[in-house]
Amino acid sequence: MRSNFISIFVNSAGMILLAAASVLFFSNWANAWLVSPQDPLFLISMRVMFWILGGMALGIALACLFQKPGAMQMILILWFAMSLIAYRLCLSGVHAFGGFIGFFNHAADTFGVSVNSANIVLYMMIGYLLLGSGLSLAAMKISVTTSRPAGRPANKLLKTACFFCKKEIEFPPHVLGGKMACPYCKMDITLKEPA
Amino acid sequence: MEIKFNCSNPACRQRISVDGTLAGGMVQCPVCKKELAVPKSNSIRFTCTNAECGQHMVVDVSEAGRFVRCPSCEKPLQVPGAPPKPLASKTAEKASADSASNKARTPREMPQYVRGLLLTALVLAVMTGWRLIVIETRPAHLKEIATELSSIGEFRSRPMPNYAGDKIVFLQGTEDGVGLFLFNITGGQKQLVHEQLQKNYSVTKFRPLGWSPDDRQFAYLDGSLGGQTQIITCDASGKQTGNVVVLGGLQDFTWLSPQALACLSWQNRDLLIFGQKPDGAWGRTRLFKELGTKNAFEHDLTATSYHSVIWLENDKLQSFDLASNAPVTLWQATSNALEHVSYSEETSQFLLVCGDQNGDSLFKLELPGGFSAGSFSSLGRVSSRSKSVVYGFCLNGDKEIAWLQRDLGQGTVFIKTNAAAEPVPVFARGSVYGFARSRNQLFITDCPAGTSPGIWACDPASLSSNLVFSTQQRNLKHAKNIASMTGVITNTSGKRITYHLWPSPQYLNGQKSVLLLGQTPYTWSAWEEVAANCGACVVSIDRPEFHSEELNDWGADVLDVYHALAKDPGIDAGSVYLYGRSAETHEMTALLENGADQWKGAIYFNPVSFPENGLLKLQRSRMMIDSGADDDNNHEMIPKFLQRAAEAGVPTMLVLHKDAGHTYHSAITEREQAEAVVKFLFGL
Repeated sequence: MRSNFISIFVNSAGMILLAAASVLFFSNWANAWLVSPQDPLFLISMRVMFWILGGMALGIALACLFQKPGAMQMILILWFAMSLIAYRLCLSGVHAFGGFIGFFNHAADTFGVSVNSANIVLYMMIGYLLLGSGLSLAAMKISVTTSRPAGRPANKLLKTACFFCKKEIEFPPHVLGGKMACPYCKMDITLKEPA
Repeated sequence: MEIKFNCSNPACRQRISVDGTLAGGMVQCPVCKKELAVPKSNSIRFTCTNAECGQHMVVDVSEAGRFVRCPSCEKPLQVPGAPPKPLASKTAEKASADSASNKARTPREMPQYVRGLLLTALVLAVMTGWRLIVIETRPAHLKEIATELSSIGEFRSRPMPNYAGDKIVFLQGTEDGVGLFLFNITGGQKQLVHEQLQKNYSVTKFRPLGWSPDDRQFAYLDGSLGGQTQIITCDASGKQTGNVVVLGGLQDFTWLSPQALACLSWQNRDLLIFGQKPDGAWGRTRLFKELGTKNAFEHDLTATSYHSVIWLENDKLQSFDLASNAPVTLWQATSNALEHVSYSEETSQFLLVCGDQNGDSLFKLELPGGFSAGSFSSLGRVSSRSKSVVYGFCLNGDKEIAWLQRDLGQGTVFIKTNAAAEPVPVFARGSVYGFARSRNQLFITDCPAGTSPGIWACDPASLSSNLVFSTQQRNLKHAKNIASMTGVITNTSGKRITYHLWPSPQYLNGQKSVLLLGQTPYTWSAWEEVAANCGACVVSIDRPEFHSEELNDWGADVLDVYHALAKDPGIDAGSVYLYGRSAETHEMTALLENGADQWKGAIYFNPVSFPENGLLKLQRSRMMIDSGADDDNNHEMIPKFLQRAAEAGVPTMLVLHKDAGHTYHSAITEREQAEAVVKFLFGL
């Protein structure tokens, strides 16, 4: 159940980020004839900023879509969402009170949506990525903790004694309850937890 | 009887069952093909190894190698023979077999890279499709419409016909700038004589100057050659015959004779006379220093004979004979302003246009006995607005008088067939840009509603006219010439406001349209027609000239017309955009700053002013700035505003046209401008 949720989130996040990257790339390609304002934080053209942001989103999207879901993707998604939030807060810090609106209106126009709608979609995307990656990371942590009995270190061999020769036998937890021949006396024994 | 035993190959251990007749013989393991000796008996007999026990035991041969307990002493004993496979190994085999069987039973899980590829393809397909839909929902054939309409080169000068009336020289917009064309009316051929690129073009430095009295040559001004002002003369076929450098710039020009030119220099108001040598080269023959008055605006320089000229200067009609040393004042306006003068060689009469606060009047100054004695007669008041008469001529031995009058909405040529007759408006259907006369005809540059600009020849006696040259050289495939509609409202203070409306196809079909609203002199321009073709109604509130006093009422007039048009069922009152050009942007900015609720956005063409305060109030508006990259205003003001607007959250689109300054002249720039406006309105 948990792994399903993680898998669905990672795939959906990858798709969202890929879509976001394509919006930025399409906007740059379609509107090369327009003059872009400057990014007030890094003092680079917004067009360059779009390439950078789009590249980052594309990289994370590919990692999400082409690698098995894991903690690395979650951390990348979380980092990306946090970066966008930090960027938004910094815009207010440099008195760019309009937030993202004044900077990505060309991107919104490229896809025929109003800039206010695009702004709402962007905030929803950030929220989804932030919440989803946070929850997924938490779910992964819980899964690791509950998959073994409390107090038992992971991957430690269990010990038992041969029913026939009484010699100590070590075995991995996953064969608990199975049958095997005693390596010493070769008698068939059932692997049980030590009393 | 069956004998069961295990393969002795440790890696195989296959359980084998053979008939008892094979006991003691050799068989091959069916799995690993090893030769095996079949046990002689079906049972194995052995004895407990415990010396104190010695129990004999019989077990099945299949138990060979296994450990069993001695039934007496319970000691674990290994049955002689090859041992069976370890149990754990069997478990693993079984697990492996189970896994294989599970795989066969349940659908196979998709590899991650396949799923990634599919999802990537899905997202890219959706986004590309979305973008294509946006492109498709744009007005159809935008590029073609913009190309067709912007290829109609606008006139950049009044027509300059020769005296015979069979050739015209004029300036017209070209793909890259402005061209001087020679048009042969009888043959219908248009010939490019000289072209200036848009970045070099200046209205004051490139214009036709006129034909020589014998129609063998014409002259034009070219100020782009090495920074010098030059007068270029060409023969009637358009081939250059010579050139004259005018130091200090050219204020005005006239032909004295077929081989002599007179120029008034701009810098020192010197009168320079140039003569043409037999080899065709021009040389300066006379120089009269500082003949005019500095800081005065001398114009209408006209040759009254091969040795005398007249010009107009500060309400005075000045005359100068080349044999004298100083100009003579022929006439001076005292109770009004002398605005224009023209001279008729046939009757030696002057037609004067004078204006006062009540309007413009025409006067005739006759000098039958030479300049020493003359008579002055009034032809009456012709307009109620001062400076509305641009210029006028006497024709056919002064029988007819024609003049161009600019009212609010348009320019109209009026003709009086005799001094007592009522003026008859001709070409009142559109907007006359300029007119000129040949010996017996008027040539009028006009753009009647619903057509492209052209040059019409008009017979002043019969008032009949015919189109001799059209700017529309090809049939329009995708675009339509949209006939502007006129509207009139009277505001609450009783002011009459007229406007022109270029209707969109949707508006004409009774559907709602986006509205572009501004106040500017009525003229033909590509972007208005392109916008109307693509679905926007464009309204231009009339103003007679760009820098006229009506500019001060820009905001009030626009608001009045907006309130009137907002009730029009064909106008989407929620999608009204303002537009203004150059100095108009001051007024537009003031209007936006005072309240932006009713405007969806604004288009700044070649702006000189932007909102300073309350940008946050404009967050619901969209802005477009369209300017030439070489416009001096671009250096600081426009990029700064773009940045301020973006930071304030005002969506702003900035288009800078390469090789364009504060005004546009090339078809390329006009096409870009028209496309940008439509994309701004209907999506990028």
